[in-house]
Amino acid sequence: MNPQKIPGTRLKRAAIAGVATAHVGVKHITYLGRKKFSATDENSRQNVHEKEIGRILINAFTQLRGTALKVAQMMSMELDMLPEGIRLELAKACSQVTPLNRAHIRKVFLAEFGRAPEAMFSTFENTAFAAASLGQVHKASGEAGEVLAVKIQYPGIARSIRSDVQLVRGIMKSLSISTSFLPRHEIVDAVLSDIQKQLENEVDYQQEAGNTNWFGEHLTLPGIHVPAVYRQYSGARVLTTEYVHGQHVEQWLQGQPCQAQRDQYGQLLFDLFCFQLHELKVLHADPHPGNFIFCDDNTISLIDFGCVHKLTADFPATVTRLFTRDPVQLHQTYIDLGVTSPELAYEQFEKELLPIISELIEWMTTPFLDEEYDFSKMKPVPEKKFSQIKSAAGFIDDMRQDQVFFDRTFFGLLSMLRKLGARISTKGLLSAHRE
Amino acid sequence: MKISKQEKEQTRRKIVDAAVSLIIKKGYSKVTMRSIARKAGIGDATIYKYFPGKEKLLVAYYEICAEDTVLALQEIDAFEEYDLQEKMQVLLDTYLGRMIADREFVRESFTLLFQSPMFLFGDVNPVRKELYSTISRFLDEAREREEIPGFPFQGVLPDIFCEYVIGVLYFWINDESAEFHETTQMIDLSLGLGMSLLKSGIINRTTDFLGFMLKSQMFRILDPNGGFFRSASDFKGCVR
Ligand SMILES: Nc1ncnc2c1ncn2[C@@H]1O[C@H](COP(=O)(O)OP(=O)(O)O)[C@@H](O)[C@H]1O
Ligand SMILES: [Mg+2]
Repeated sequence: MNPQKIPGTRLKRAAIAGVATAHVGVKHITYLGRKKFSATDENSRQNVHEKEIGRILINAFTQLRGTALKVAQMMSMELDMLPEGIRLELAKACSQVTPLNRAHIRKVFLAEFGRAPEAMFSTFENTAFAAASLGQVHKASGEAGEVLAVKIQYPGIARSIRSDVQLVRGIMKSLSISTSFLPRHEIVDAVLSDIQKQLENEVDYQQEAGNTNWFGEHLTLPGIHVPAVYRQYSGARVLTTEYVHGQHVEQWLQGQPCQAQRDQYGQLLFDLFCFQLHELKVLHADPHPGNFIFCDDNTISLIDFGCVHKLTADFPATVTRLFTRDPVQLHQTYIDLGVTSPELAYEQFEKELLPIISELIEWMTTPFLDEEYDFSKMKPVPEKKFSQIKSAAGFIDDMRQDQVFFDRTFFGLLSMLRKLGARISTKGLLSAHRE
Repeated sequence: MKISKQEKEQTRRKIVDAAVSLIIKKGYSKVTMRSIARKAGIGDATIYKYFPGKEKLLVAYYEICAEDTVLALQEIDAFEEYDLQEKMQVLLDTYLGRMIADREFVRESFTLLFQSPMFLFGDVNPVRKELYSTISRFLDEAREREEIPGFPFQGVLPDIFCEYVIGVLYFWINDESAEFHETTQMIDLSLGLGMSLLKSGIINRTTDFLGFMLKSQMFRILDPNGGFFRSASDFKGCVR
């Protein structure tokens, strides 16, 4: 991240950054499984050094486990911000987070309900069936025999977020003084604040329960199911929902479903996105594939409402205008979205910005040129301009939140559709300046 | 008049309760045996039949909490199936949980007791007295189930664990973090470390050295202002 590489004037710099992010959601581009830059001989030495730093970081983080490690993990995912070597080391460490044992679970239950799990449920499986980001999920059955999924948070984690983020910030700061491989600390700071906010939302299971109920009520799209919340078994650190039988997308694909099935599920995912964008104007903004459960009856259960975002009323109609190859409309839409300053004249936009982003625009609009698209044909994000965008990414502080959440969700969707190789009707996204 | 064992025990607890609430209110030095007796509703002479002095009252408090802990553990469903780390965690959670309402008292009495000559010279150790056999049983069960290997000098292990309990106690009374999450983390880390040491079988002859070290270093190591966490709080930029 060499500041010298960032192009000229401040206006232009900010413009590139804004536009680039509006288009490719730099932050969430990892969802698309972008190919890694190949390591040449020259930078393999650097790689060793990065690994070294990675190890230093891990040692520092593991001293305090808890959220610190989680923060490190998120940081390595957010942005392609950390150099490859460091990210690899972090990823390794993050898979080793201590699971909650029976003693932890007991402690959480006693604190929440004054009763141990075996006293609350008629059965409770001590071994978790899935990992959650800040805890884990257990199967249980209720008094009436209902099958339940019980998400339990690691004890104390909610209270340690702030101090753990502080800790990571301190480590990063001291490291960035001694090495040139880490991003500038303003960038780190901004990302960390984001992460802190997100974590604070995520640990509030009561809020998540409320969100789940809201979606359950309003998400009336046929084929989409939202599991019911069991309030009597839920609290601030425990969230109990109806257990849904099904598979995550990777697992489902291993069963070699036929094209028609893949199309059907792909269409459902796409419609789900459009429904949220245009009808609800609220996004389920955590597009992790683990949050979509493919059920046997051709439905999808949507889970995990830890991160939802309410859009501004005019945003959906505006953002869909970005899906165009007409430079005049693009220029205007950028201004409307607030990603470029109104001072940026069209001539300057056309001469200096357009060449940089044209490839991206082409890539992004392709699925929407016709009414249908075969996502198995979708190429990875164009890489060539990527480093330039990446270096500019640090300058966007005033991006609209709407845009950030839209990007995250939209790129998550594209990633799933590519994985499915689905052939679907894509007109729902744009045809929705109906009404 | 003959009093039953049970009645005697009730009175013992009543006296300790009275002492705890008075000490929380007024501080250890300002509380007299006489005022404790009055608060407990017993005669001035009777109290001395139970406790020769205030120090012994402190000891009794830690004993009672440990007794209650042992009883509570017996109530847990399928507790024998828990592994060693889980058992120790529950033991610590229960012990600390028992004291939470009296934390102010524990803060004041801890140093008085655990830095008193009677403790340091090994005459009195309420934690060891009540928890030693429970912890020994945990260890035996873990060995039987081959969770941990046996080794020479393994006999010192229960003592080390008892020392550890006191160390955790000390950490906890100094822990100002919300919901004591630093204590939770510290227990996880230290038990995790301890278990992997035990499982690896690398401790055998070194054990007694370790025991010695722990005993002498425990408070320093676990001091949130001192050892273990110092590097961490440096990062946090805490000025203490
Ligand atoms: N109601 C449920 N039915 C079946 N599986 C569930 C349910 N809730 C959670 N899971 C499983 O647990 C995993 C993590 O749960 P999730 O709510 O997504 O946690 P997090 O918020 O940490 O991502 C999911 O990916 C899924 O596999
Ligand atoms: Mg999830």
